[in-house]
Amino acid sequence: MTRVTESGPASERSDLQEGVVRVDSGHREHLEALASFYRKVWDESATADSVARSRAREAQLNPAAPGEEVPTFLFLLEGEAVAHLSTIPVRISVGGKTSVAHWLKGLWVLPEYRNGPVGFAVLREALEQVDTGLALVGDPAARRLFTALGCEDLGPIPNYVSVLNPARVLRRVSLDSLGFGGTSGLLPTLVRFSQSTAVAGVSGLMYRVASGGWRALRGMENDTLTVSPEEGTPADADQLWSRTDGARQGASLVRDARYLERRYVADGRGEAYQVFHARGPDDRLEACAVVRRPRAQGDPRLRGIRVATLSEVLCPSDRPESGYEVLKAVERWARGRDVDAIVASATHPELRSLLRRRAFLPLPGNLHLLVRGGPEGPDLPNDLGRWWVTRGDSNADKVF
Amino acid sequence: MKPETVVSRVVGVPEDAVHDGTSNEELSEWDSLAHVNLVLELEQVYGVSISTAQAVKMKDVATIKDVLRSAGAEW
Repeated sequence: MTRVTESGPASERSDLQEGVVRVDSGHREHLEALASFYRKVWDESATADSVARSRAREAQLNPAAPGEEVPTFLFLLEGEAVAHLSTIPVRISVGGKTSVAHWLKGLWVLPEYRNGPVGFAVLREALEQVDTGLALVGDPAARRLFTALGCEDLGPIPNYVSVLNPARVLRRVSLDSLGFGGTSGLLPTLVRFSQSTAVAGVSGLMYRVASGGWRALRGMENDTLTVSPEEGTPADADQLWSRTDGARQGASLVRDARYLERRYVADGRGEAYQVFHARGPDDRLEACAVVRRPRAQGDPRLRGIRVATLSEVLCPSDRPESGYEVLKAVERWARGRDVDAIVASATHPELRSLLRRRAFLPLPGNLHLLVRGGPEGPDLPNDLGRWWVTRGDSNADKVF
Repeated sequence: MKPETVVSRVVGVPEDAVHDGTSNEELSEWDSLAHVNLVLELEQVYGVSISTAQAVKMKDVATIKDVLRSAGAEW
């Protein structure tokens, strides 16, 4: 047998595959096992019927294979699910060519079965059954599993934060509980200084002046654009997507009107998100952004700080000022709703540049992008900067 | 070769730190990937086949020895 390493796939199978099933809603026992797992881990109210309805709806919306069930995998022991992995089917564009991929999502092993073979087994089965696999993974042990099975780790996705209420954020935020305990950088340093000297109010004022000055220096205003918060996604997003994607020739999810509608609006998701449209004088859509509203019951680690998430930004390469204007509008909207900070994640240099111009501060990345191309799929770029990944991808904006 | 030696080599800890009670909860190095490598290595060293159900139960050295004995392995 060949040893499994962190840099390559297992070249030989053992019988560890036994026990993994791909959920088929035609099998009631699969639904029962899945619902039981959900009840233990995520949703105490899950039932086989609710799971069946949810999976039927996901199948309807499946962009990779309309009508087909979304691939979900369980490791069963005596009929009980002890590990789980699901997927989010998407269409991706690589170099302007469109194909199908799956985000691998929700790898979870019940505590009593961790550090054993079951997580490895479900992940291996999933990677064998999907062609192109993508994942955003934080946990180092999980990343080792992915890379051992042939995924390439492209590195951490840069995070950014725009602090709208600096005094409140500096006073309340806990770097340790958010996983930034040992990190350096302007914001963590300012937080430590403010909390150790109890001068959050003064530090906040200084921060506000400095960031305002930075924006004045680095701004790229465009008075001809009208940016407004809207209900729903723009019907003409396809032309924006084709202008955006055509110019970049990198790798990205296909962020067309259908994707935006399904991801941020359908099935009541619109309640969680606010969409922004930026239009030129001829009413042509020049940029669009999607923001996840702060939770009514926020993450306890935030200690009452209200955080909105910039889930999506779409603007053409030749109109960066449209992206800048949409970011301004997002901040204006957020200030009006007592939002303390906006967090964002961005891999592409163009978007990162826009965020910096708007005085978004860099934070250490915690989620890594892992990719594995399949035999039928495209050659995936191994340079993170050629990917357009944002916080809304793979539902990563659910964290706060 | 003793099972303790195999565990030590695959998991990457000194052999004198491995005893019957050593478990995957105790050693941070004994993660999921190490466990899979350990099963494959045990199969190779002792010429046995370990089922998934057995692999799931192998959370400590004593259980590993039980599984190996039941498969006919000797050391």
